[in-house]
Formats: sequence, C-alpha cells, structure tokens
Amino acid sequence: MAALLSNSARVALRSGASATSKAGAAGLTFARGKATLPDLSYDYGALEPSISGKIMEIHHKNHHNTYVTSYNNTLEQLQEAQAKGDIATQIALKPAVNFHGGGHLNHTLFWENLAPKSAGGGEPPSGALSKAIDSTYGSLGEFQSKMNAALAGVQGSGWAWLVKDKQTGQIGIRTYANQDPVVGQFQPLLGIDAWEHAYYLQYQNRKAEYFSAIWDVINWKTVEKRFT
Amino acid sequence: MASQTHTLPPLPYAYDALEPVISKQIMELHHQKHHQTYINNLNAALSAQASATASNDVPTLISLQQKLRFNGGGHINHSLFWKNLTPPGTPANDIAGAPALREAIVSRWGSHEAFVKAFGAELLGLQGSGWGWLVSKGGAKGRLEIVTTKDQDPVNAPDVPVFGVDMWEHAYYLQYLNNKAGYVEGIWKIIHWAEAEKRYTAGVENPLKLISSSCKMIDDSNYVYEDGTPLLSDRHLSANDTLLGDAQVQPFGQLELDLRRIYRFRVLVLFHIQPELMKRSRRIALVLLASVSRKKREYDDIEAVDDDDANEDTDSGDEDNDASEVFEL
Repeated sequence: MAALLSNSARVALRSGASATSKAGAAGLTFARGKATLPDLSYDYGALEPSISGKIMEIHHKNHHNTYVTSYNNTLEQLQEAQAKGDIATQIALKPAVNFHGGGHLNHTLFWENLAPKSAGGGEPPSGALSKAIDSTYGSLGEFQSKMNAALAGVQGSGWAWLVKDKQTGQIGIRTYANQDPVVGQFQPLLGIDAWEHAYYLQYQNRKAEYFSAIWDVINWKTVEKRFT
Repeated sequence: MASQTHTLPPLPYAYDALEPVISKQIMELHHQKHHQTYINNLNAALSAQASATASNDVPTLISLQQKLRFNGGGHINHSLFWKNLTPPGTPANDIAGAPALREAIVSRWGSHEAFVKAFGAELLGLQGSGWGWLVSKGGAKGRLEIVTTKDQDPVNAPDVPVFGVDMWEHAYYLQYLNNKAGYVEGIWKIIHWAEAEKRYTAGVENPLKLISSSCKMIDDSNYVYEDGTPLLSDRHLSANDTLLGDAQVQPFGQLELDLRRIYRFRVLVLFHIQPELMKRSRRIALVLLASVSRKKREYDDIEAVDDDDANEDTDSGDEDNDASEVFEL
C-alpha cells in the first residue's frame, strides 16, 4: 500500500503541470483513486519508421496525459457528488467518465501492445493465440487484412480491437467509437488507435499506410498474455 | 448517368488565403484529399443505391444508408464550411456586415463576447470527431443555438446551419497539434459574417438538397422532401444555386438551355427519380424559376451578371421577354 501511495504522489507531481490549484488541494483527499500517466517501456523514437518519434511524444505526453488529467477532474466531481448523495450529477458525469477514463484505458493498453522491432515488435504470435487466429481467420495475414479493413471503416474517431468473448472464449474484431473502452462481455487483446492524431503528422490522409505499417511494431507477446 | 455524380466544388479563395489561421498545407489536404474522398465515396454509394433500387434489393438499400449519411454529410458539411470562411482582414469577416445576425446573437447570449465564449466551450467539449455549428432552429431567422454534430452528421432541415467549424483533427492538427483551443480561437478571424448573415436571414442554399432523390409530389404542383421540407422553399434558392433538370428528357433539355441562356445558372441534372416525377420535372423547374424571380434582389444580381458578360450573349436584349414567357407557363 505504501508503494502505491508513493507512486501516486510521484506521478501526481509529474502530471501536476496542468493541474489547477483546486486539483492540487483536493489531491490529498482523493489521491488514492487518481489515474496516472504510465511510462512507456521504450523511447519515443523507438517505433520508427512505423510511428514517428514526434507522434509518439505528443500522443503520450499531451493526448494521453489530457485524458488522465480530465479523468481525475471528473473523478473528483464524481466523488463530491457521491459524498453529497447527488444522484443527478453522478449520472450526468457518466459520459465524461466513459470518454476520459476510456481514453486512459485505451492508450495504456495500446502502448503495451506496441514494441520496437529490436524488442520483438512484429514477431508473429505463437501458441494458443496463434492457433485461435488461424482457426478463426485462416492465417495471421488474413486476420491483419480484416483488422485493417475494420480500421479503415471507422467513421470518425475510434479504435479497432482484437477481443476475446468472455462467454465463449472466441476471438473477434470489434470497432469502438471515440474513446469507448472494451468492457463487459469482451476482453481487449490488441488495440489500434484510429484517431487522426495517432498518425496524421506522418501519414496525413493516407491512413491505410499507417494501418499497414503498424504491424511491424505490434507486441504479440503482450497480446498472448492477455489472451491466456 | 455519369452526369449525376457529385464533383468537388472549387474553393472561393486560394489555398494559402486563410493563413495564418489555417495553413496552406492543411487547406490543400483538406480540400483535395479529404473532401474529395467523401465525394468519391458518396458517388460510389449513390451508384450502388441506383443498382439496388433497380433490382429492388431492399437489404442492400438499407445497408447503404450509413455510407450515404457519412459521405453525403461529409460533402455537405465541407461545402458549407469553405463558404463560411473568408481570408482574414477581408470586409466579409466584419460582423458589422451581419446586422440581423449580430442582433440575434446579442439578444440570445447577452453579448458577442459571451457568444464566442459559449461557442468555444461547446466545441471544445466535443468528444471525438465532429462539427460545431451556429444553427437557426426551424428555418431562417429562427432561434439561434450552438450545436455539435458527431462525425459527418449534417445539420438537418428545417434547421439552418448559419456557419460551421470542422472539429476533426485533420482540420487543424498539422498546425495546432493538440492545441485545438488555439484553432477555435483563431477561427473568428476567418468567419465569413456576410455569408452567415445571408444564411441566417434567407436560409441555406444547399446544392445537395436540389439533387435529393427523396422528394415526392403531394399534389399537382407541390413537392416535398422526405422530411417535409418544401422543394420550392425559397431558402434553397439563390443566384448561386444550381437548378435542376435532365438534359436527357427532351422538353426539359430545351428548358435547361433557356435557363442557361437567361440566368447563367449551372443547370444540374438530376431527376433519376420516379418516372411520374420525371414527367413533371419541367414543371418543377418552371416553379423554381418563378420562385427565384420573387427574390428581387437576387434577380437583380443575376441581371448584373448577365450585363457583365453581355458580349458573350448574342440575344441579350430578349432576356426579359424570355423570362416572362417562362414564368407565364
């Protein structure tokens, strides 16, 4: 528990640049539930040429951090509303919890399911996951082309995921709008960010090139762990 | 029926004309690539729809609806967007040129500044891709509201989009990165207030409205769109509007020539609708024409245009007579 608290405090300091004084004061009370920006296990430039260092840096330090900050602000409001027994406000906050909390969850999973080539990025899956992909899609290549089609079909901002159905154990591809997280019946295995901010500085409107290049930096070891 | 396809409307200014608010690179990609892609996909969906209609394939027709909504919306929204922007420092950017709209804004929000603040807050609250709009509810000179629409959902009739701001990341990311507040702040330097005033007071000229294939005849001379909007509503018409016709229907082909000669309108095409309506199309165009003629100011504008290129016109002296004849039909 002590470790958890000190970790929270450390990250609260790190992400404190954008925190308001109100958040700082309330931080003492609510520090235990605060979300924190996770460190990447690789350098910003390590996924090049699939994803540029500049994209990775802005995506992590700015976009992801904004979801963390906004989620924490929402959480504070939620806890205040809970303390007061204010049901209407709690309900009104649901979209913000979904969006900012979802943004935090999605990006956290995304960073983990990427890896530089030097750390195994792009190396095909093995074992039970590989068998599941082959039996469901015929081959890894076939799965990738279906996933790319799903990504290309996202209208607006969103994500495509390889998921596992908790009821049947089957795997499948699902797309989610905006920052809707993979929760409930499905378990997230592999997520690819189809928001424009994930690729635009490098690929502009040529998003198919991004979807094609990202397979070189997919960390299948992480996906295998999530699957089993 | 190649003539039924939609084409990319040219920008009313140069690609670099909106700098420093929106960079040339963004404008080029946004117009030539993004907008063009919506048009390509809309045309593909319309073509698939025509085939499915011909074979009475209802499941396919239903499955095409979302593609039509997304890509048709993308075409409508961007077409409106380009026209409600103007280079910074131009007279059109002066809100003094929008007296009726300014009065309505002040009466609704208390002050112009309060409106700007509320508009920004609404737009920055958008989750994901979409658009921010100032909308006149229920038609021209209606109650003003700030609304956002997700992805490429358009503002639906009878509401009038007074102006729109594209909040997709592709609209600002190359220049502003994650600082979308900076983009929203800058947009005021390029809002085309004169266009906004025109839309607020007279409604929106929407080229896609005129080519809708979903209108139906409710009696001998009145047509409405599926949503009940009258086809002949004045707000669909202005000097810049495309009128409709079908050069492949002989009587109408002649009318199209007349319209071109008299009004310099680009006469677009379209009536790939029910055969019954096809027979009526000549009459529709005539009523449209009469509707235009009621709008005296715009009629004068049209005549002014005619005067400008009278040298191209071999029988410009007959124009008024031609028009009268058409109206009397």
